[in-house]
Parts: sequence; C-alpha cells; structure tokens
Amino acid sequence: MMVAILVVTSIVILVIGYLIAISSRDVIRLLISLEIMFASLFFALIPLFSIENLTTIAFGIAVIAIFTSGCELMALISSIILLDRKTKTTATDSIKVGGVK
Amino acid sequence: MDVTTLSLLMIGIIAMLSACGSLITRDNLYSALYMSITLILAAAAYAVFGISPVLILIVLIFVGAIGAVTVVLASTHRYITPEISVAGPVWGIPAIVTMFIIGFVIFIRVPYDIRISYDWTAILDSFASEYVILTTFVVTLIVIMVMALVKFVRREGV
Repeated sequence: MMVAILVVTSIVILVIGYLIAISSRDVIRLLISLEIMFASLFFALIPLFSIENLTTIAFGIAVIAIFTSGCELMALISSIILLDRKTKTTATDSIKVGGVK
Repeated sequence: MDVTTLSLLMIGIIAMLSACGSLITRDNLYSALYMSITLILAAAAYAVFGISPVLILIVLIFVGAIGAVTVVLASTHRYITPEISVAGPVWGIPAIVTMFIIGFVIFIRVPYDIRISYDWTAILDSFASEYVILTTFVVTLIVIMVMALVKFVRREGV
C-alpha cells in the first residue's frame, strides 16, 4: 500500500513536471519543472530503503542523486543568469541554437 | 489504515496538489513557492520512515540552497506585478504569533536528547566515518561550480 502511494505520487509529480516543461515560456519555469521532476525522483527512491539488504546502497544512491542533481540545477541557474546578462531576457524564444558550433 | 500510511497518503496528496499549483499559476514566484512546498513534502516523506540523513540533505541542498535561489530568480524576473502589498507591520503580528505557537509546541512535544561530548577520540572517529565523505562531496560540488562559473565568465569576456 505504502509503495503504491509513493509510486503513484512520484509518477503524477513527474508528469506534472513534464507538463510544466512543455508549457514553459521562460527558462525559470523550466528550472522549476526540473526541480519538480527531482522531487518525484526522491519519492521514487523511498521504496529502496524498505529492502533491508539495500539500505546502505539506497543511502549512497540518494546522496549521489542529491549532489549530482544539485550540481546540475546550479549549472542551469548559472546559465540562466548568463543568458539574462547577454540577452536581457529569460524567454525560451531568445534561445536560437543549441549545442556548440 | 495505520498512521504511517495515512500520513504518507496525506503527504502524497498535498505534494501532488502543490505540484499542480506550480503548473497552474502564471506567476513564476508562486510557481517557485509551490515547488518548494513539493520538495519539502518529498523530504517529509523520508521523515515518516525515519530516514533523517536524506531528509536533512534534501532540506539543506534542495530547499535551502537551490530552492531559495530559484525563488530569488523567480521574484526578480516577474512579468506580473504583485497585487497584494505586504507592506506594513500588521502582517508581522500573525507571523510572530504563528512562530511562537509552533516553537512552543515543538519545545513541549519533542523530547530533545542533546548530549555534549568532550571525548575527542569519539568525535574524530565519528567524523572520519561519515562526515568526511559528505564534506568531500560538498567541497567537490563547490569547486566544480566555481570552475564552471569562471569558465563561463571568461568565455563571455572574450
């Protein structure tokens, strides 16, 4: 029952995160959608702790997930600040190309 | 249905509702605030099972650091001007009363068992086991972030 609640919550929040990402018009809303997706990931991680032999591994996975996603989000925040400094806007329309030429 | 399942169900429902609020609202500031509530509730789900290290990490890193920066970013880049003015001392009174009630209830209900130890060998052993790993992660994160920022700024300067 508890696992079902966690999985359903995780899936619903993940879908909402995707919907926010699709409907976003500026990069700040995109950042918010990513953070909501990571919240769904944290909900999905909890059942791992219920398996007795996997508790240590689950904690390791949780720590790595928290730090790597934190790094990723901080990189995105830096990019948003630099985008705002260059283009004076945070709208997604202002991003013309992706990747490196 | 026991208390744990019921509290988990409540946390899940409120988390889904706050995520929906983040989707529906047009203002980035409120969207970021709803997002923070979702993250706090994700951490609260860990608290239900007593997994306090992950709870602290999520609250400190996601809600405390990244969530706060996101709220600041969202509040500085707003297309919608705020309609409700919170200026004036009247708004502070209910906030102070609420803080007092919450603090008093926590002080009364939570059985604190704080023991200050001066046994330096035990402190060093405890530090060497877990905190060194966490500190290494934090230092690595900060170094990577600063290096990436310097690289970005240099490239922009050129």
